[in-house]
Amino acid sequence: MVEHVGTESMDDSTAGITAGRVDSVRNRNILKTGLRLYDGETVGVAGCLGEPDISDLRKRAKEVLGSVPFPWAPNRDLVRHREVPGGGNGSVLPEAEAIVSALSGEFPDILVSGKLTFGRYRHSLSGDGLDLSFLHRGYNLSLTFKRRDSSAIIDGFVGSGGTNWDRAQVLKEIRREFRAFLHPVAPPASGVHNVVFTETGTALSQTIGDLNGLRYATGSSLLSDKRDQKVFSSALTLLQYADEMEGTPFFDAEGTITPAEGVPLVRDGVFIQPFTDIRTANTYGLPLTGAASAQYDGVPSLGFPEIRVKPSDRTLSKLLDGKPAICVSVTTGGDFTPTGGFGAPVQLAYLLDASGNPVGRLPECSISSTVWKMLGDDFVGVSSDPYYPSSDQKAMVMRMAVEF
Amino acid sequence: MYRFPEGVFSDVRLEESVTTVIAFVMGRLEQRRERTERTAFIRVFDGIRWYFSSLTDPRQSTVQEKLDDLAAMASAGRIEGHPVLDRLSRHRGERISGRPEGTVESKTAVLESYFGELKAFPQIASWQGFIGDGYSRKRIISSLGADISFDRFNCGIGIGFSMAEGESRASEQFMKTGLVPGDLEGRQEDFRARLQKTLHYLGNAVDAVAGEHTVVLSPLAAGVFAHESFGHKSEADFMTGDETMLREWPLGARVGPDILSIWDDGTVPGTGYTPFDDEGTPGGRTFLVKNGVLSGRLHSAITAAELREEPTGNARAVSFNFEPIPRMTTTCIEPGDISKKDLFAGIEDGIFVETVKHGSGMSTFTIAPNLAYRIRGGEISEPLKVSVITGNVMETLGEIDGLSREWEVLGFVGGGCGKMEQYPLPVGFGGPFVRVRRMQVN
Repeated sequence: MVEHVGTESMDDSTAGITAGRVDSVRNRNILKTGLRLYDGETVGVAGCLGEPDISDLRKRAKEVLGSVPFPWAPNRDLVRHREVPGGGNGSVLPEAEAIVSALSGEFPDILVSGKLTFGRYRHSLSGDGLDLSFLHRGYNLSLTFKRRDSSAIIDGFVGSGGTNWDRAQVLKEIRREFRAFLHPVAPPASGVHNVVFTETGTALSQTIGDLNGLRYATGSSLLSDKRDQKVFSSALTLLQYADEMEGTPFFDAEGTITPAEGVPLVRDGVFIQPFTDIRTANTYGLPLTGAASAQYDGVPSLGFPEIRVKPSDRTLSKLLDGKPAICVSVTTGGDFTPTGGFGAPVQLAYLLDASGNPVGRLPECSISSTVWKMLGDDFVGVSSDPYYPSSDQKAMVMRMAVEF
Repeated sequence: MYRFPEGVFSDVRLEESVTTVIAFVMGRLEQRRERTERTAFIRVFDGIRWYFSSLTDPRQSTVQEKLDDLAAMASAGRIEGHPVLDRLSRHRGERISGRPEGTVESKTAVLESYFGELKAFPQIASWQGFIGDGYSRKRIISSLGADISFDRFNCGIGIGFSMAEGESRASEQFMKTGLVPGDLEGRQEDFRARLQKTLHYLGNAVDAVAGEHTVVLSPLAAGVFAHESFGHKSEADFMTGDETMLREWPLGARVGPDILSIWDDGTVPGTGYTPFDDEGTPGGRTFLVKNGVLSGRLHSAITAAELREEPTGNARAVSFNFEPIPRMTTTCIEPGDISKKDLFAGIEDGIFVETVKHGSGMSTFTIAPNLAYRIRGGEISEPLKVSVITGNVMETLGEIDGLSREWEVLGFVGGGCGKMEQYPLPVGFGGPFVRVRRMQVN
């Protein structure tokens, strides 16, 4: 019998901002504990909130052993502790007041609402030689904004997240965004343009789903039967990655460690492997990548790990190659067809000059492509320099049809 | 029960929840969980700022200690005469139905009773089955004298599947929500029909022609549209401190045709059932649009005070981790007076959206269809691949020109509504078949 005890603790303070006023403070001190028993054939789990009674958890986990099959060896004999340096960002309330005061003073035409959180988050997994822990002290700023004369509920979003709160840098980034937002510019002609994404979720969502080990192995992925084949641009390397500065632990819910350099899923355009947990890897004979996730009291199962595009060695300015670009700031509701066609409305976009600096706000538009084109011949690359330095967010460039 | 601090408003929300989750992947049991949590959320308001704390230890002594801590952060003596006090609940009473009987074994058996249907479809490459239920019992006690206990229970079954044949792919879900576990039994015929439809889609779907089309939304798609396009715009926290929104969205303004009415109602049984909200305000029906005219907004006590309106029972928190904010409960478009057949009959060439993957809504709304079809000569014809339909909310409301008598109230299984950090909140939604003269299809 192997026993694993996992904990997640969260101690954070959040300042709430409504229409340019800091109007709330929320404190949370939450501890979640789960105990898993593996008997070689099945797994039993029990969990609790607050201070745990381990003997009670063990008793309850034993009671449910025997129903959920798990005839594989769980991780053991791994010891690693990691405390992300830095953090300890002080008191959230004065920082939120300072942000709001600066923005409302400089941009009286813009209303901001949202949250600023400073927190300390610890994850651990231990038992039978397994002893892993990860401690991150970090921050998250998430603001919606709108012009005072806008009849929309939200015009856009700005934010930052990471370890070391740097108010001056965050304000610098928001100022750059707000200046562009307040300066409408005429759109270029509809057609194929360099399109810049500062977050990769929208453009990569289909491919991330297709990299799921279960979907791959069962033939329901567009990448099924394409392992070791060159399917995308040589400029594209996709890594399963644990961004410690963002608070992602270096181990998954089963204790599989993600190496610091990441796990390649697509390398130089060649599909290497899908992401897997222990169950999927063993059931289908795939390499284990450490992509298990679990509720604190649940059996680990295949989740969605953090996946990032490996940055190129070229700056955004170099990637744009002397041409202006369209930076997608807000796009909600886009999707792919079953065969990979992509369409998305863009609610907020900026025109970037050839150096990658935002020069003004564009009218609403729509973007379209296919997964094979946007990550294939039309994929340009990810910048070596961050577009948002406070959170080290880089810019991904691909050519797409844009309709204004 | 508690010594509420002097000079401030405070309330305590005690929650006890019991949830069951049973999940199979490709016929293998992967999750079998029954969870009980007892938690608390505390609020203190001093007239200027709110102070919140969430606790995983709801013992009276711990709650009292936190109440006192929060009160020490606040400034007493500034609350008197604050308009929010007139709008915060003073209700007392109990509305408890209890948690329906049912073992994990019996729930597992209900889910497994559907699996046989999958065998007739070799095109199914992968599938996952889920059955779950959630019971929550809450008590809200405040310094104004409110003391309310209420509960709610929902259950649902969902089977998601992906079919593949050659290069073609199609994914769909069969979902059924219920008020008692027995509601989830015996729906195999509906499941089989959904499988057959998806198989037909897999083999026959062609790319839709992008552009403007006349579109008919199913009750599911219409419900998502109402939720995304208009429901969120009606949540009053988006309007507080925003003179433009209040000016542009005055109650009494015309926003759609006479046939269009949209309401939100926390008393409708189902996934959005909210007999009292998380401030203790009773739920009820709020018309957002009545006969095409803007008629109401969704409020917490806080937003109602800010806008000098009345609370509507829509202050909801997704869990003990969060403060209540204005959210939808069950949001529906009211049915019309023509038959579904007649609604389609007027369309020579259009698109019918039967099921959806997701939707979103700002000033522009989007709906990502799953199963969609061409309408030819008033009849549903070949299946279409559509990535997204989209439009300006206000312009699209004005383009609605037909509502069927047939209508449904629905709920998602295992998911819900997301708003900023709070996701997923169980909500209900629905409506009739809705005909929109022009919508952008991509």
